[in-house]
Amino acid sequence: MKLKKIYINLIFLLVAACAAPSDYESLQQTPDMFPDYADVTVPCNIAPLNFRINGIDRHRTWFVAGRDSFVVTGRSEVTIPLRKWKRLLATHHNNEQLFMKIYAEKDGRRFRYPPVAVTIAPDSVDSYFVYRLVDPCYHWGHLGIYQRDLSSFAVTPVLTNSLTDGNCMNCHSFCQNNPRKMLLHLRAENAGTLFVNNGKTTKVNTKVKNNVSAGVYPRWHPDGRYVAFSVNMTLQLFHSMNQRLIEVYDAESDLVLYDTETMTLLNFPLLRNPNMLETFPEWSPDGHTLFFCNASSLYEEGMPRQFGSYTKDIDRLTSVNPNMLPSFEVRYGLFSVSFDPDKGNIGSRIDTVLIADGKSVSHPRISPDGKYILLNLSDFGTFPIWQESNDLYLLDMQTRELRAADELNSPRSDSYHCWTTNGRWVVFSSRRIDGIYTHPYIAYFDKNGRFGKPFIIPQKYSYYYEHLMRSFNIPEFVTGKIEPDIRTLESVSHSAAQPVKEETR
Amino acid sequence: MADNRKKKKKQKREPVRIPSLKWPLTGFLAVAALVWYLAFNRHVMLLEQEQNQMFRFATDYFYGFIGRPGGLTQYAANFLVQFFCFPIIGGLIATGLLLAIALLFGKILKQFEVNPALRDFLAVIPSLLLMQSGRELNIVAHEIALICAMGGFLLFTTLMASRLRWWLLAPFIVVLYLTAAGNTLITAVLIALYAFRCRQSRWYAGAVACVVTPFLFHRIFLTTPMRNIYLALTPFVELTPLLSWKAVWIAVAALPAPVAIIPKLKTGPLAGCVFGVILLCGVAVWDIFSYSRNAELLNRMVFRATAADWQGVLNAGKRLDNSPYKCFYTNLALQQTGQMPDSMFHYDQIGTEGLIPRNGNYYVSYILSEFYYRLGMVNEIHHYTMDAIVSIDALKEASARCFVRLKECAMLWPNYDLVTKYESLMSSTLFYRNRVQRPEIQPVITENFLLGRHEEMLEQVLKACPTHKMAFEYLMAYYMIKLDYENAKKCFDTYYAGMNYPQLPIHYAEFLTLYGHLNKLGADFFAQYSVPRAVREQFGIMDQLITRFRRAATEENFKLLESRFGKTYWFNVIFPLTDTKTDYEAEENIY
Repeated sequence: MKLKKIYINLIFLLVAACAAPSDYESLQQTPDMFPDYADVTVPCNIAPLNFRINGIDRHRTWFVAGRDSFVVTGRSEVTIPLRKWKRLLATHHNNEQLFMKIYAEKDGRRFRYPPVAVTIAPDSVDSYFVYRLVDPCYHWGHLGIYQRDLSSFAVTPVLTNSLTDGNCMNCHSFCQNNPRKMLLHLRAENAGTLFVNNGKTTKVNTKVKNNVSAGVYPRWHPDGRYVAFSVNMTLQLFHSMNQRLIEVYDAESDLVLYDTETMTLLNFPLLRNPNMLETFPEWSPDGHTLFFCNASSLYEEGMPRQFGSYTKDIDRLTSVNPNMLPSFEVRYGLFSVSFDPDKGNIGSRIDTVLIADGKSVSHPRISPDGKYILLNLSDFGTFPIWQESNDLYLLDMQTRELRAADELNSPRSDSYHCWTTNGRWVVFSSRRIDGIYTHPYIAYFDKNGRFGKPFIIPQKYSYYYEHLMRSFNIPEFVTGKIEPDIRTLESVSHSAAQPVKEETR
Repeated sequence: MADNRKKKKKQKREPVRIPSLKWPLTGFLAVAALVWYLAFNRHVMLLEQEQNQMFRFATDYFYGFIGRPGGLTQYAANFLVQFFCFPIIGGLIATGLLLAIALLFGKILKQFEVNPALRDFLAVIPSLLLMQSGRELNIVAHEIALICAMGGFLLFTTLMASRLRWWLLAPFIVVLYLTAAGNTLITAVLIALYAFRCRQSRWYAGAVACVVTPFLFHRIFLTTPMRNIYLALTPFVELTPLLSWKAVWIAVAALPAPVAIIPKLKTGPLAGCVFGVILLCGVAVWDIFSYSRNAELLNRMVFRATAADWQGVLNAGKRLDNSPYKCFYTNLALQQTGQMPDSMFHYDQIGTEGLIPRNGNYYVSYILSEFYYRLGMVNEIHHYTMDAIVSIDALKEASARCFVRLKECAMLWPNYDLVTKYESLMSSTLFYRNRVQRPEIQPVITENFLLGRHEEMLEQVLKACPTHKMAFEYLMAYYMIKLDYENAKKCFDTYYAGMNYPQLPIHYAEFLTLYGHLNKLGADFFAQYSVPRAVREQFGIMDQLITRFRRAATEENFKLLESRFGKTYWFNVIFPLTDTKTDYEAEENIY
């Protein structure tokens, strides 16, 4: 009899604990949560949206979707159990809403916030996201390329410069978000480009005699055979004022194609115009059009070619004219040229896709269905990430209508972006939190061509981004884990880079 | 009964044993002396270590350490080092570590049955060598790792004597490697030597396990190269370790070797004692004579400059060998105290690098951030502070001084979102959490321009702020040292009037005299600039002495010149200091 009473009391207590408290004062204001996940649309396979509620002592938060719910309690951190979260998302992923009902306590006062709604989209996001973690400005110190499982918080290094003699590595790029076909560049020590091609990893030296540099900005052709590279003579200068810290610009740039099967670098005179700066290649999904950014070079004829080493460049530029900042005047447009994948040849005419009045185009990324190009528009130049004016714009390829992606943009620089394979999500990097460090944001892209409210990629601890002293750089979605392990890449990176053949067509 | 009585009588006869206070007292005094020495004599080096890390009570900070060999040890070391901001506590911690190493090494030597008389002397050799390495940034982590390695050997010998020994070997070696990192190799050497001495061939397995285990961790510590897998937390992976630091590791592994290899090697107490004293004295003498106080004194200048104690900077510089860094801090202190145009040539000047060091070396980054901080150019403060962060490979984390400066940058811009970020980071520290910090300086507001060479930047600053005294004095000094008389004159003509000096500073008067003399300008020129007659007369005397010196370049004539005119700009022009250390490598361990 006694035991029965105890059981009844226990059950009563449990029910009381789980039921929504009723003696809480209702507030009209939304909770001060970081990261802000209110009213966002999330993929059905995203990791728990852990966050922190500022200005409270403790909380009890109900996660309610349809008839399912679970509760999380704690101080200010809301740490969501992975399994319960996944179960909830798996059951309610058809554009259903998930409500976070937050009951909080502060200095003995109890109150409840209006429910925070999150929409669970039926479209999943590519399972991994690859990025470079790098010191935010100037020189690199410790940097590495990492991959994050977006359905959990698991992060594994792809390659870090602690294994490659502290060199710089950049521009990781994937063929159609395929982790089995990728490349990344190593600079300085162990220079070369690492190619991962269906399980085979090679290191190639894409610098040839007639090009100003090795391959820089890459883009894989959809069929995986060709890679379009820009070759750039890049200079870096520093600003004295206004938190516009760095100016990076090209003294010279061209486009080349690399044939991964024959290890040949294909030069096309049409894409090597000495009076033009060609850069940022991008392929149409069918592989028959090569898009790229292009600007007329404003330098005095021959001047950039006279430059010697990197440091000398700065000295010479500033001594010639201390106020010379060429990229203030350089604005890029978007152009295209046809491509025959069978013959590996380009057409004979360059078409203008977009000249943005008074703005410079960079980082064009075409949606997988080919209907849209998401690109950056900034005031000038080719390196917009330090320009606060830099924003994301969406170009409708059918109507050629260009609109600012205001749903994504912030007063600070919003730049490098990538589509998922299903075209329903984009990831981009933004300096919106503090102006110096870039962080990755994901946003939903609906069938009407509108973006949802972007949200920062969730981390296990809400203070992760606040405590991180590095920037997320070049966020790229991939459909799975990159195959060669870090030790394989380390080993190949120390091997000699294979030379490539050069051919002009 | 009779026996009992005898025993009782015997007991009565035995005197009561009073424990001798001689050794405890000696030990206590030695420890106190060591604490005093470290806390008061070497406290700058302790502070330097504290400033080059920032321990945070945060999960993400902890996780940053566990993915590398010896990470836990590094974490523990950083925890201890944060207390180095209090010299006494720092001295106690440093002494404790040195004592622990001496005691453990003594035990190891005892295990090897080294002659007791010799043992006590040999035992302190690693600690003695480590004292000299106190300036190394990561030294505490290395010391803890060494303690773990030596403790590991002693534990191994205990394990081998117990029944549980073999199945405990694997977890033992794993824990040993996680804490001692590369020092596990020392344990391996000691175990091998001990196995050889004891003729226990099975014990070699322990040594082999110590060598193989790091290789297995190669698959776990994915971002650690093989070299660091085996040598982490040893001086052999540091940038430029002192010889004495390397010698510590060699001594620990090598000193027991002769005893192990030649078991019959025995010495009498006296011979052992004499040999021990000779060895110890040799090490001590080498230690003392090879120790350079330059790094310590330079760090003292850095700390005084950060605290804006400019007289302290000048005092610390007096005993320091000349170098670009010393010259830089001296000039900065002179400028900040208003003495630069009157007395900068009272100090050895070594060219424009003594004004603004060349940024060819990352170690100079923090120095440059100090220069631009005083100048008020926020973007450049940020630039060089960021460079200083990425420059120190061994630390892998932003340091306390860099955090403080970055926060100041954010306040000066102002970017309060960034201030919040840095405050959030600092809130998880013990000693920086509630630090009220306001920048001492006002930022220079100019039109945005491209940052080029230093003199061009100074010109730009002066264009924007024509009364910026620091920019003016540095630019004048720059042109004067470079012997660019026309630009110096132009700068003087353009900006001097706005500086409101009570009278013409002496070095500028010297410059104008020289300029007038070189251009054969008349009395009007000197009257125009109010160059004192006395200065012109002095120049005339010096001119005569120079002429005499050129006819007869004797040491006596030179000394006469130096004694009368060594502190003038003219002397610096005619006899520029060439015998200066411009080798940055010699000082690269400072930051």
